[in-house]
Amino acid sequence: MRVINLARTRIMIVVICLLFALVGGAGFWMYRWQYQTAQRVLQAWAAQHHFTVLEKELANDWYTGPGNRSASNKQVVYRIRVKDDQGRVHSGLATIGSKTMGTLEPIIDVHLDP
Amino acid sequence: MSVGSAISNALGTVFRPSGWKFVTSAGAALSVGTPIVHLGINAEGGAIYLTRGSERVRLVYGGIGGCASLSLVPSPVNFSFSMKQMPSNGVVYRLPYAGASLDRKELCGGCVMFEISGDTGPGASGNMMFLGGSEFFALAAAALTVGTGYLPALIASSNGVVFFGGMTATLLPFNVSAAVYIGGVSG
Repeated sequence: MRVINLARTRIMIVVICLLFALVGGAGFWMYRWQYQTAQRVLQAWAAQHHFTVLEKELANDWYTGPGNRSASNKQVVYRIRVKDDQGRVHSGLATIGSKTMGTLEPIIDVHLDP
Repeated sequence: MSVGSAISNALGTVFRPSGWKFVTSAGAALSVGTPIVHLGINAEGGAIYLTRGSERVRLVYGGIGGCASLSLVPSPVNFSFSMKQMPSNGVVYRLPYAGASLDRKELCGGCVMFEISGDTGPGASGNMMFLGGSEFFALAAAALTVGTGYLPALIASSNGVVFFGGMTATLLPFNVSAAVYIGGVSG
């Protein structure tokens, strides 16, 4: 009986380790997915407006974005430099996703500097 | 009969003394963020130590769940733990589905745990853990209700409930959170 209990306990400990690995892996995947989605949405916006993205740099405020698990704003914000089809370079701020659902809503708001 | 005593009587018929005494608990939890504001997913594992007369049991539990949290330190991940040497306290009740004695086997099986916690590094958590739920019953309920009946059925079929709380330690400090876990208990 004692042997059975020990075996069950060991199996449970292995299951717990697997659960931790699963959640850790899921967290890592979700973290990467949010930035990959943001990049995809930005590229789609650029293609639609005949821009080429030259540079993008993360510009989230300290308490916002996917880097903070309990942020009240999950948007991804990039400071971007883009080139139009006439060769002119513009810079601006691209905000991707919604505040509440982050990049689960693939929307983008771009403000190019005047 | 006053409303207060009616509620007290109703609770008394659901939460009955079990004879088990809570000794201590230990556990660890990993929390990661999701794209949805304030929501995370968690994994938790640990053990609770109970005695009844000369009988001593260690129930090992593990589960996965979700949480809503507020944190001061921005990070996509956090980790907290408690050890059995840390102060903790609790009480075990027998639920209507249990047999007359609520033996060790009845405490094993599916479990559902609700947890609220707060910390400044060192912190505290309070837990309500339903033990010995029927996975078969829960899965049958889930199949009939497109999954929504799983959690209520697991709670409804539980044999015991442990209310416990104690000191915790957290890697990245200054958090408050509420979490729910679904998992299993072995012992």
